[in-house]
Amino acid sequence: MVATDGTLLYANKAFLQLVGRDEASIPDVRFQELLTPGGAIFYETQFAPSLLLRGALEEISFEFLKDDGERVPTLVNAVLRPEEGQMPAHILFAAFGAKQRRLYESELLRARRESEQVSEVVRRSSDAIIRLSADDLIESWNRGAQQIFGFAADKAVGKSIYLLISEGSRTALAKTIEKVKRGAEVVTETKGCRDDGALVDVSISMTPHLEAPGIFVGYSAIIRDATARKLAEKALLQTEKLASVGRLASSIAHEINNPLEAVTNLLYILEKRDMDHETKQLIHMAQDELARVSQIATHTLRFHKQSSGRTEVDLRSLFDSVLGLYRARLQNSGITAVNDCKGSTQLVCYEGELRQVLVNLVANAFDAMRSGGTLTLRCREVAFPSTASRAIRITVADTGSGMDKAVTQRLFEPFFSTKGIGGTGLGLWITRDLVAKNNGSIRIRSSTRPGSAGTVASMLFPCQPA
Amino acid sequence: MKAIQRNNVKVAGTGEQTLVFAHGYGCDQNMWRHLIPAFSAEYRIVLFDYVGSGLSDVSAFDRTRYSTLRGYALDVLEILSELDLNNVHFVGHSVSSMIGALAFIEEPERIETLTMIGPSPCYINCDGYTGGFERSDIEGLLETLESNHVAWAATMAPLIMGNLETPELAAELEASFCRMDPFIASHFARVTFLSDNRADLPHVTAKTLILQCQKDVIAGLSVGKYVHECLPNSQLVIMEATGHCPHMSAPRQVIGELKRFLAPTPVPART
Repeated sequence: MVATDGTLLYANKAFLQLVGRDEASIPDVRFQELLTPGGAIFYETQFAPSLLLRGALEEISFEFLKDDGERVPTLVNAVLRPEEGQMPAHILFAAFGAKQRRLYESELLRARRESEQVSEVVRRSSDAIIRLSADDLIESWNRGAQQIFGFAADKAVGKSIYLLISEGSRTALAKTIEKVKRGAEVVTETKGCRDDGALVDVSISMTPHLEAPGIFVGYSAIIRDATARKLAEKALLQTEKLASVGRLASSIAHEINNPLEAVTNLLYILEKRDMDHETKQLIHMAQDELARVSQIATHTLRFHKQSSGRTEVDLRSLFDSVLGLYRARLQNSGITAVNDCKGSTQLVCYEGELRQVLVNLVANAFDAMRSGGTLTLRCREVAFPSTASRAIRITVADTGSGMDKAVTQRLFEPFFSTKGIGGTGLGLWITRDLVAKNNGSIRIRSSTRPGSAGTVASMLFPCQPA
Repeated sequence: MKAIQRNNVKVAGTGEQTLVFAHGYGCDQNMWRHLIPAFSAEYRIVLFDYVGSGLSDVSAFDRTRYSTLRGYALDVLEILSELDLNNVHFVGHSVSSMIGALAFIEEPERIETLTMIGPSPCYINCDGYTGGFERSDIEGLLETLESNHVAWAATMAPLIMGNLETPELAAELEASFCRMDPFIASHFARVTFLSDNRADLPHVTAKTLILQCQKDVIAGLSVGKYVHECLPNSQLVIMEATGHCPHMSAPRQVIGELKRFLAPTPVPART
């Protein structure tokens, strides 16, 4: 029995034993002081006001705190007795120990929290994780599923899984699902169908759920968007083809070099012989043409050779060599190539990679100028007074058709290509990677405005401190 | 949405001046029912429920807005603005003491006097200040709330009861008996017991009455004295009543002190 402010008026032996006090302590103790501090706050702020208004509360969980620090979980029923004659208003409490029940409850709470954490993982996964009933209806939906297929949960749940699959792939998937229903775990690839009708490559891994005695009750599917992987595989194949062509070319160049040397020497000997002026002229011409052949062979070799370390590269001759590879094609398309290098500029870098970067950019410029124009390779030394540092800026500029904003924004995305079947969409992606490997940065500006159309790729390489 | 509906605002009584009663954490406007009859003849009385308490619109709960006491203070100011009230006498219990103080700092013209029942600017002990609790105690409260979710959800059911004490409110009143959405209760508990508004106290220049009980385990005597020292224009009254809710357990004392405080020529308060 407790006064409205919590003061204990009477307590039976069982209660005193439960909370670990003796009878002598009753008059000085208030009910809330027997509780844990958190419980006391709950008593004062919620329990007591509510009890005074409601008149009764049942099965409220409180923890008493014994003198020795032990916590005693209990369930409490309370009834408010209003003022009656001599007897002021008071509260009757019945408390009973609830250790086992509280243990069970806290175990349940813990389990619930754990499963909430797991379901949070499922909910937020970028893979679609869905549960399916035995008759192929979607029972659960997550964020990943929405991202891949575009359907919101309310549009998908309750529908058939075949809604997510392109018509042409449904029969094949049905056969796969038959296997799952016989208890097999299956991973398969198929074409999914988004809510906007677009097709998407997906890989599906399905797991059957069985209940004793081996009854199939449903299955779960983890669906992953395989578009990027498919593209990467295709690009890898293409790259591998190109690489083997490169290897072949370099081995041919290597084989050609020896007879080339022999012919050069023979022409040299021939030149020293006495002969008429006209023959000499012809030999000179043959020597010049042969020199070009040998240069092409050397460059082809150099292009394939992997760069092992940074070397000092003369940019003017690098530009010449890159333009040399394209000379014939540039000329045929009516493109004027300009090598705009002031003096001799040296840059410490991986030569092979810088060469590849320039080749990529020149190739793009060439593609943009099918009806002629001017291609400029320029290098300039720039100084940054604020940081007392210097850098070399290399620009590859063309006067071609240019690109609009929608295209320039996505230039460096892998697999983004404007060249249709011929392009892998990896050129600029790799280019940026190679530039970054040489501590540089690259920016591309473009305009489609008539009169000033064209594209400028500008790279900045900081100079290594001497 | 209008604050009047959102906060289940009830207006009663007649008078030139307005008394606003703001309930504390854990209860709702019903906790004032013993006080209303004593004031409704002389004052206009405004009662309301904070969002998540009583019959407020739970759907208006916004975790961000109500992540600090300022959000609750803005609700109070919106109510006063919709009722077009200035210079009110604001009576706040427990956490509402600080909510009233913050509302005064924001728009001083709205609030003439503040009455704080069991106030505490900070419940956690820290750097030499004794708030009465450790952080782990608050965690304990949150645990207690959690283990009482089900039992407490039962109190959410509103009951219809005759209201004999305040016939001017309504003959029959949908009463809520301190009902509180269990999920919002945890949130409100965090905001209430983990806030630190000590730095705001010196800005509260309104004439303030602090009603301090004996043996208040939520806001002890030293906390009441601390608030009194920090407020520039306050009177501290230590009552004979015990506990944290004297307006429920000993309404007559609270009525007496409040009338004394609000009287045009106040008798010097006992200290």
